[in-house]
Amino acid sequence: MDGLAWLWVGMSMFVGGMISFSGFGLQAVVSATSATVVNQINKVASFVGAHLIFHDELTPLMIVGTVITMLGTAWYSGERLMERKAKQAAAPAPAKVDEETPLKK
Amino acid sequence: MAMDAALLEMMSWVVVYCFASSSMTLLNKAAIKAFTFPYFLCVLQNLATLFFLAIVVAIAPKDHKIFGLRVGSGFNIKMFKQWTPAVLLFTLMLVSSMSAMRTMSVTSVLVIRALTPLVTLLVEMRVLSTPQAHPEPVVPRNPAHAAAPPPPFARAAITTSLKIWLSLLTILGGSVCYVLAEVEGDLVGYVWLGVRRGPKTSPTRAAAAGTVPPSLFLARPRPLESPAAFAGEPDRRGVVSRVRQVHHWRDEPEHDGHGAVQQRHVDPAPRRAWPPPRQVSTATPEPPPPPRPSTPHSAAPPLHATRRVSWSRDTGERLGRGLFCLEGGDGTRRSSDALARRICEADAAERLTPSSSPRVACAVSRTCPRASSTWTVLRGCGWGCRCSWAA
Repeated sequence: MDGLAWLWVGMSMFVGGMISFSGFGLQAVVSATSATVVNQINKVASFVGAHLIFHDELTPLMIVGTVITMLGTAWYSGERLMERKAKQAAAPAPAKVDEETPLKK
Repeated sequence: MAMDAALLEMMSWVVVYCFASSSMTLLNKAAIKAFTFPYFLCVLQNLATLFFLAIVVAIAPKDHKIFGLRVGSGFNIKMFKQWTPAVLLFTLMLVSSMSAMRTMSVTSVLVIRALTPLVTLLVEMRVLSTPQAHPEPVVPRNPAHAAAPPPPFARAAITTSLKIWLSLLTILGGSVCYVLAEVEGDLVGYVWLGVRRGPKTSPTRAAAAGTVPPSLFLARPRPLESPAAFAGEPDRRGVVSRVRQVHHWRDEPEHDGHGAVQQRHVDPAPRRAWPPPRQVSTATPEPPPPPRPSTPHSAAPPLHATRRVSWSRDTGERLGRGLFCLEGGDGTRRSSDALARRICEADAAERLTPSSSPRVACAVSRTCPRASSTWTVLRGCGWGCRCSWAA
């Protein structure tokens, strides 16, 4: 292995160690919708980067298939998100505990 | 000011995560190409994660809102058994993803990976049962059943709507579209190899009769070339298929289904003219072309068998889009730009656009009329499987 190979391996290790913590950080500060959008953007960025860096062969049919897949993924993520929100809205609100409220006699 | 700080924090996390997530796939690809040990690479990445975890634990306070680490004190065998399958499956996912990266393009991996929700949903609906608490107690009508304990597990209701199914089918359709485009050359190559098994399925005859063998439709409906193309006339792109005038073909042994074409011990003796005599018998047979200047390949011994090989940049040889390699029965492999030019000078030269696609998607067997041998021509197949070659 030459120096460039070790560089790739080292960067892969660095990013691999960073991705989980950054994921936790992202989910803590943004909503689920925003996280979904960010994931979609990342996928598009990966596609573009793969084509630019590795010169992945992309025929028109491949591009069409990729776009359809991305749209389907975004649609699925949106549906799951709306489903989760609907469940949360339908769930009964937890009883409020207010010990300072005097009981009616 | 506090608002700005919150916004800055959010933007920082978004940028960091975007960078990490986007570059993770690309760096994995680069790393696995440079360091072809997927298991060991996964170990290294997990060690790096542990290193980061140690730093975070050392720095972040225990009650930190994001990285507050809570270590359970009740670790026992039950917990170990409960978590071991998940850990093993997660490891398998990492290693398989890395191994796929080694041989496939990043785009292919991402597209196929998009099918995960569909597979997960199907498995979940079919197999998975999750404990579910009954919200309302069931009062049995028969008092005899009153003492029967409730079932410990009830299949959880899988919440799927029509829209979710449609979205998953959209993903499936896009993936199929992509895969069809990627293996286009393979499919066409297999169709042609299947068609070339015997005279009844000869593509020339089928095209001359205006019919297409059913096997073509089964594999991939694609219009056959007109007989004029075999007679040396310009085809639709105005390129004269000169090589096809002297092409010969012969029966070839079986090849195994969807896998790699395995042609062993192809006997070079029995030969039949291709196209069939109906098209060429009336014309005076062309004299054999004059021998070309000696090249390193012409001095090689004739090869009597071919087989398809996987050939990528990972193997060390340079074979990208538009570059060809040949493998003969004696194991000789040839791959060079000069050979590619030599192969494709007939009618595919205009498509020789060197690139670095690591895939080899097309296998076309042609019989070399001069070397009396069969070669398998492998190449990236972004333009469809139209490979003619001149010996």
